[in-house]
Amino acid sequence: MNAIRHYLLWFITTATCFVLILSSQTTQGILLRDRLTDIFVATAHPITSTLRVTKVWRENRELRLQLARLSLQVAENSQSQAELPRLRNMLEFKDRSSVSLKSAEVIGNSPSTGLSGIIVNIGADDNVKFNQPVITSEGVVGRVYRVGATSTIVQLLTDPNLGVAGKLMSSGENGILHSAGRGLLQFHGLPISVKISIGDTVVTSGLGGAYPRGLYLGVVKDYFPSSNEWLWDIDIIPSVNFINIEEVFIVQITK
Amino acid sequence: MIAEILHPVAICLILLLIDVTVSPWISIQGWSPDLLLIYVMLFSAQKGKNGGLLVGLFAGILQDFTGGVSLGLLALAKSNLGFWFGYWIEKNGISLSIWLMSLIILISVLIQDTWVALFTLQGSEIEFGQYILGNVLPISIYSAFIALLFIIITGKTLNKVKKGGVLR
Repeated sequence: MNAIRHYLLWFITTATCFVLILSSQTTQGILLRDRLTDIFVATAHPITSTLRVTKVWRENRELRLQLARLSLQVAENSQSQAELPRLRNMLEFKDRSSVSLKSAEVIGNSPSTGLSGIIVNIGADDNVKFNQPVITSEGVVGRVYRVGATSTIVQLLTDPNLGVAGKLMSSGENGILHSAGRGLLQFHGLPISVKISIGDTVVTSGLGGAYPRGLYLGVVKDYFPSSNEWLWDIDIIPSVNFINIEEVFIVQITK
Repeated sequence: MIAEILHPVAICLILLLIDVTVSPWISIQGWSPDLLLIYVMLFSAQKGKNGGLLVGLFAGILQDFTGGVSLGLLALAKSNLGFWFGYWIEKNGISLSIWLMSLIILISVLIQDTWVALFTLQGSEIEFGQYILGNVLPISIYSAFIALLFIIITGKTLNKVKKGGVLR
């Protein structure tokens, strides 16, 4: 009788898990997950902030130095900037779409082994939306994967399920980059006629509209024939250090 | 009774917080140990299959809700690993050395992450075998190492158990 009870408990638990799996993509399931993530992040945030306080004073000093350098640049650029509207009018350029950056602090890593991601401390309340690109000053980090009211999960480029449209700077050849594991990205299936150099820069191509054009992705590490002999596979070292991200910027395209 | 329930709940919450906040500091090449699964297996070794089942369910649900790919995925893996491991040692009266316990944790993480990869890599261009060797296996080894360290540092003794008995 005891044995039956134990197996019954196992059966009920396993059945509950399957029900959860089947209902995970429903609206209620998604809402519930987002709410609970918000609550959890609110708890985790103070811990992360406390752990980082030792780095803050050093960063402060470096930032002051950068500020001084940038002030000089601004002074030089302001004169050039004044001429731009006049030149644009002359050439009748259309306005480019304007892009704003929303900074966010990284609270921690996504604890799930099924998703390579980080959790940041802003969400829908700050106009964060699904699929918005996420970058740092080094380059592309990934995209917005799940949005809560005050927290967001960012899917990193190192996640095997995320692809990004990229371009080799030297040849202009376009392709899709995916994670290759081992901390690398990979271009699949570029034509064998394309000229490739080790160290060549790879940037976002802007195709598909998911990412703005020209954001850094990485540099070419190596290339070798694909399983199809007429194509190259290219290993790329990402420009971003995914292990030690503390702050990101969410790209919000306003036009 | 309440303390018996609250204790594993509190430990799971603390381990999840550690997993999210501290794991970047202890990760190697992006590989982080699965602290919750280590706890589930150790709990199952101590309290038996039902304890392992329920703690595994709770720990898995926590992970699924705070960043999982799909609700229930990790809950299913952890609860079943906790249950069947507890069942195995109860039924056979296994004598658990620290090395055997570490090996069991290595195999458990391997099973869990392979299970998750079966779901998440569908449609991906990454080769499944390459992902298992390059990501899942190192995480399993690292988790087993952390478990070994924990058992040595805390001085947990894994005593011989009679057939049908439960580890204390």
